[in-house]
Amino acid sequence: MWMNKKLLTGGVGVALVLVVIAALSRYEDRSKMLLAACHKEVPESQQIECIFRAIERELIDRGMSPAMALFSRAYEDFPAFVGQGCHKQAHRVGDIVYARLYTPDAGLDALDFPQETTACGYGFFHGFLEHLIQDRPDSAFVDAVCSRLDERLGEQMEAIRAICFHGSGHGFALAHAETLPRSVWGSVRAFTVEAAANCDKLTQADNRSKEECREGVFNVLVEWMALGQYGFTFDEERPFRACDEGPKSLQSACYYEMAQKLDGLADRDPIKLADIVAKINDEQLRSTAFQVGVAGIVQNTLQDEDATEKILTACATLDEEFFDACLKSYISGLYEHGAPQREYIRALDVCRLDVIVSGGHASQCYSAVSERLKRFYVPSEQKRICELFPEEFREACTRDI
Amino acid sequence: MRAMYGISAALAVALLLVLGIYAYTGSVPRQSVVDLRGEEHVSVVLKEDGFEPRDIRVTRGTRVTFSTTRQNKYWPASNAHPAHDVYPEFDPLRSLEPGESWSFAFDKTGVWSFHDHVRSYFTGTIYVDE
Repeated sequence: MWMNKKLLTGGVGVALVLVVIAALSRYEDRSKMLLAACHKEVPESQQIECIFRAIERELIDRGMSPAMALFSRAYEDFPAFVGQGCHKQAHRVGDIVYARLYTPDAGLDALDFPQETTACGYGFFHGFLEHLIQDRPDSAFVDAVCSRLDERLGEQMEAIRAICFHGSGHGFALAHAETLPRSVWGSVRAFTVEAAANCDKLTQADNRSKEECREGVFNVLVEWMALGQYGFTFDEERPFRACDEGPKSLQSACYYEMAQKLDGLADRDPIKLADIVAKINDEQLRSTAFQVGVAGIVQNTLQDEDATEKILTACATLDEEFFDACLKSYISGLYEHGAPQREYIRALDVCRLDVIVSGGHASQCYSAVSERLKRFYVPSEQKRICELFPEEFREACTRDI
Repeated sequence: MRAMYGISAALAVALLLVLGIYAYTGSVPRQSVVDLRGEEHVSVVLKEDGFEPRDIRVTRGTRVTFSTTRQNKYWPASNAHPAHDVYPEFDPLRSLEPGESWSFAFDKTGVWSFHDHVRSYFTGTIYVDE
């Protein structure tokens, strides 16, 4: 009898283990399992809503790291997710964290920020910070927030300080817009000057950081222009007119952000883009506009496998000035919109293209790739990636780690 | 006696299975969708902590009226932020003042996630059934 009980118990245990293994072995990992149901949703917009419901649930149930793992999985497995713009998707994770995890009492220190939060051009931080600052549009608060984030995360996220000030610019713009009556809708001046003045009051921000903040203000404005919201429209005939007509102190920030929308005007062709920006008299503004335009082209052609070679081949027909800017911006664009923590892969692929190698641009290319590493990767990962460089470029890669 | 032992063992297996899967997935559904099917008019209020009710299920043709108790402007609209392109008609096309309400009749079945365009972290979902 005792032997029968033991056998029965053992059998039950083995059966249990087999059943659980069988059930779970359908999925390679947890994130795939959680998103499996989303593949069945139609249309694609519903897939994306499904993904974000899963991310939100994971965030609440298990925290930031598992939620960002889900985000990374969605990037890999759902073309529609990336197709809509991964920076925008990352923004939304920032929204969710702000709404569901952040409390003013506990503050930022109660939150984890895994390395994946750098993904998609630090979109997460833009989304989180714009609302944090929208709800408290105070320069001293921004100073404290950005200093604290830099202190905590600066070693593994090189750009966090700049990103923080940029996201704060978003917040200043959003907060200011709420105070404006409908009678001034459509006025660039009304929506930007006072908002951007908050950037000048930042005592912990150097000139570059203040400019990041101003760019953040204009980023919001340009989005409203592109969407026809708040009485704005995007001037396709003279995209920089509002910049030229506004205060000189805001001109470069305005040009930078307005250039985000040039890729559409240029039909995603760098040669047409070069023609458009050729009309800009100021050399610095012209260069900025071209580079930002190229980054926009990258974002919107990311899923076209043939696009990279086509675009860089077109760039190779331009003057040296434009080609250098094109290559650097192309690499930068791949980082800003690439797969979380795997952005370097496509960037390195660029350096192996025939147009780069036979054109004698390999050194420039690898230099552009290595320059961006510290923006996204912890030092140990930077070292690992440098090992993937051709031997002649490795030392230069590791020099700045 | 033997039968009781068998039943107990089976129950233990079932319990262990459920606990095991829950421990792995943590996926016991939490979200509660308020069932308002059959109501012709429904209210959703944006409060300090978000839309209330946040998720609702209604019948096609139901008119949902949005309002707020917050002191801020608000702008309920279809996802995705900021373009509102999933259900473009579900958009007042402007921000609303705190005392102002806006109504929309959901004539399309489906799952319509929405947000406050002014503060996009306030979100909700409207399930529209036939």
